[in-house]
Amino acid sequence: MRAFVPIVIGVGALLSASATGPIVFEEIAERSGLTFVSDSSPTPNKNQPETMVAGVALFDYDNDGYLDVYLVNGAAIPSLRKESPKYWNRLYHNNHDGTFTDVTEKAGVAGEGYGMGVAIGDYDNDGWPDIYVVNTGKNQLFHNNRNGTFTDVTDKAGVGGGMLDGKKMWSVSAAWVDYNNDGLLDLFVSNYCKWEVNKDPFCGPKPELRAYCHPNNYPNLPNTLYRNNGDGTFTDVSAETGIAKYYGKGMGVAIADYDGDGFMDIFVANDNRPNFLFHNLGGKKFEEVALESGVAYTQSGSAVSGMGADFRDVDNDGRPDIWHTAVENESFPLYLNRGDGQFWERTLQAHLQGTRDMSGWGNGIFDFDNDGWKDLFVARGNVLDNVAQFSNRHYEEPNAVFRNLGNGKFQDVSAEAGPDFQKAAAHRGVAFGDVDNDGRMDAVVAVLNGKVKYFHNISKNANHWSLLKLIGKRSNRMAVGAQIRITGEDGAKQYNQVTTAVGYACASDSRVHFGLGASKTIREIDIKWPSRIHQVLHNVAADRILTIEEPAQ
Amino acid sequence: MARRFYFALALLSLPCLASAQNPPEQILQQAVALHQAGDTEGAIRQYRAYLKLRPDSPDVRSNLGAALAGTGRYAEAIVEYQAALKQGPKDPRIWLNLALAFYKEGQIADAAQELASLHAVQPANPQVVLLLADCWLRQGENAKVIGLLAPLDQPNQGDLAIAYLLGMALLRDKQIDRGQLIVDRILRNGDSAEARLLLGMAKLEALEYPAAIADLTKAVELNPDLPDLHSYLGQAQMASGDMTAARAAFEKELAQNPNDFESNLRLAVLLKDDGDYDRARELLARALRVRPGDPGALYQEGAIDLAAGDMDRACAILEKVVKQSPQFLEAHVSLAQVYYRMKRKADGDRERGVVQELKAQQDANQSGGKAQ
Repeated sequence: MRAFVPIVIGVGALLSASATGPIVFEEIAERSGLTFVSDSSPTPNKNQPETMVAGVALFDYDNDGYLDVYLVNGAAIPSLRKESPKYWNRLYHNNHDGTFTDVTEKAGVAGEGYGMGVAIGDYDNDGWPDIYVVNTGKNQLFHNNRNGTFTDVTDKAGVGGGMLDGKKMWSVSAAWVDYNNDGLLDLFVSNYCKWEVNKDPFCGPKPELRAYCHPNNYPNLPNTLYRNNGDGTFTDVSAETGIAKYYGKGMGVAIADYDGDGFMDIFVANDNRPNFLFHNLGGKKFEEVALESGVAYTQSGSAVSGMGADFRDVDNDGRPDIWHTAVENESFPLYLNRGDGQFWERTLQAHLQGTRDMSGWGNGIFDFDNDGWKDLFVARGNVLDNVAQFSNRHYEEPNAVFRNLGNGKFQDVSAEAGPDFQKAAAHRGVAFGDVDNDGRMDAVVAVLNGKVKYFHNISKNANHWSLLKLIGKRSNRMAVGAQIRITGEDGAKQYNQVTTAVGYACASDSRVHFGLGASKTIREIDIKWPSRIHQVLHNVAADRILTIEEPAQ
Repeated sequence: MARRFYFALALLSLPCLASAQNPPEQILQQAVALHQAGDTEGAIRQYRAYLKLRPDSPDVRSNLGAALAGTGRYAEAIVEYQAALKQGPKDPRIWLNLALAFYKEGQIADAAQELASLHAVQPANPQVVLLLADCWLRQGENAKVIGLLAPLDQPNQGDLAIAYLLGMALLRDKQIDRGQLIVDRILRNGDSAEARLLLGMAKLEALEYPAAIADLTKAVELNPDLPDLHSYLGQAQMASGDMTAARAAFEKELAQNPNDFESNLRLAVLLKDDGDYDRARELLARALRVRPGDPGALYQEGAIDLAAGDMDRACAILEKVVKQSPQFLEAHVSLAQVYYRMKRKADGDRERGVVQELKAQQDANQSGGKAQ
């Protein structure tokens, strides 16, 4: 294996604080110019999608080295069209000075339908990330024109969304993933349930108090998988790969190679249905193995309200684990990968039982204090806007962050995360990334029918970090699916992977972040590319953003 | 009016004692004197000494049973009462004491069986009727309670104990309208903890959790010692999502009513979720003494074993549960998980098939109109 000389494209400020302090965020959306307000058109009819609009993407659409922000919005009801600019999806350009500029019109990405979520991937390997927006109606693929504008290529690409019984299925989340390792990003779309506008049944504790219906009131749907043909078009391979056989209520999608066979597997959190774990059979077919792997149901045998999901190693044992959110009274299950094809729910042992009192949506597994252990973040809010009228619950909830103590346990450190973090709202999706390139992972959180929140990570400590931007050559250009192992100065190993599909209906930074603790250099960076090319780098300095290209062999 | 049951009789009169002067009779005399003076331990010693010399003395054995029960040694009391009943004609007083000892020991099924037999002999004994109704309520036999008490309700309109137990059974049996009539009748006698408890139960049944909590809290203010009250308050708080308050309520119920099935089961679930498996197992064992073989409690035992990694035990329990309750979806799910963990793939696949079938049935039966 030959070491590749990393290209240093950015140097973050070294942190000056001496001791590891609390994880702290300041909420600076408004002063940054992120003025987005979502509008789901809540109606007395309590249409199910009204409570689910969530999409946030953090991605560098103009390749200037800074993450930009894309936010998905609802639409008018009953037309399900963006009848006015208040329903537009919005793209904000990062001005590199802590502010953003709304470039939606120029970019041409306002969208058309009733939006749910977003996925980011460079499907044509041109080095410029593209946007896929999932809607209740037709989904949209925006091709990046490399000049600050996008073109809607949905019809040409053939990715408008899966159809069932002559009707386009309601999509919630999507993930770009090269499932057959042919160097092209394919597209997995989770679909929720059969639904028609203003035809929801009446639900609620009493006739005068209508509430959003329980998901069990709606028929299930299968998910959709598109194979990238490499010519700007895609083929729906849901049936031939076995994906279409399984009906659920798909919410968050997360990807990882959980069994180390070199092919990416797909986890779908289902709402009140057993989750799906689609095990990739050599890039040709998928088998659904959630029950036998132990991730379909919680330890107590219940199918919980699966919402957001992340699929990456939380305990630094080199095996991707699964953490997904749920609603109140359920807890957010943490499934640790045992390495034998089985996962073991360790929610209680990880001290996450406090999540039982929370209603979660988007989530992510990231190291917010750079101590070398990935922490947990969840965007919270009750599903029901009127829940307080018939229970002791509140619609608006504060978000939560759990510090990884490095011993299999987590500690809820939300109370120390700063005054802004304590503010309750109807939080939905969350995307993670280092927005200001300072080595600390930030979070942008969608608020249903409210102002977006930008949680700028201002945690003070002396820990070091590294942010890796991988560029695939034989592999897909974005390197989605690349497996990275780093070894610190003390010999401690960490594992992560390239993915943008994180949480619920959101797309996070494609760069891979590592907190390094006291290590000022990384002794070794070991990368397994999706092409199966193996690359090792030695003695890499910390506190930098590194761009690493895939070697030819 | 509240369901409070005390031992029917502390000791049987022993008329032969007055003329008894020989050593065994002296011992017995001492035993009764000690018992009457409140020296129960001394009495127990002397009763046992007497019975060593005269083992076939059912009345004395019954008194020994009463003394043992008086010190909380119900299991030993049961042995003595059973022996007494075998040795002589079935004295209804000893029989009732046996049933009460079973009740106190948490062997509600045995208590109910004895009381049902006793009720056949003494149908007019109000203590037997009320205690039997209480046992059946604890066992979840609501229809039996209604069958027992409904005919007595009309001729005993002023008997609030009957009304209360019947109202509770009707509400638990989801006969809300009939139950509400009884609640109204109780309310006509003024605000009371019992009435508020029944109101709270009705609201809990109607999923009106804040309103249920309000009524049940008011009931606590009126009479915090009312049996079942904290249990229902805990259930309403649990449903409303306030697990901390629910746990405290269940603990209070169990402090005064250790054999309450619901409190034992639900607190065990909360403790299991907190990883306190030992105490959860204790509570489930108690719940299973009240309702032997209850599939919900058994399932929780299996779920704890699964969580704790004791696959062999989990497997044995869950196999028992699914055999007993073949439609119990969660039990099949857990059993499938256990089989896969044990690398018994064929068994796991079979259970997976059952799970899918049951899930499909559930989907087919799904009715509309349920809130999130």
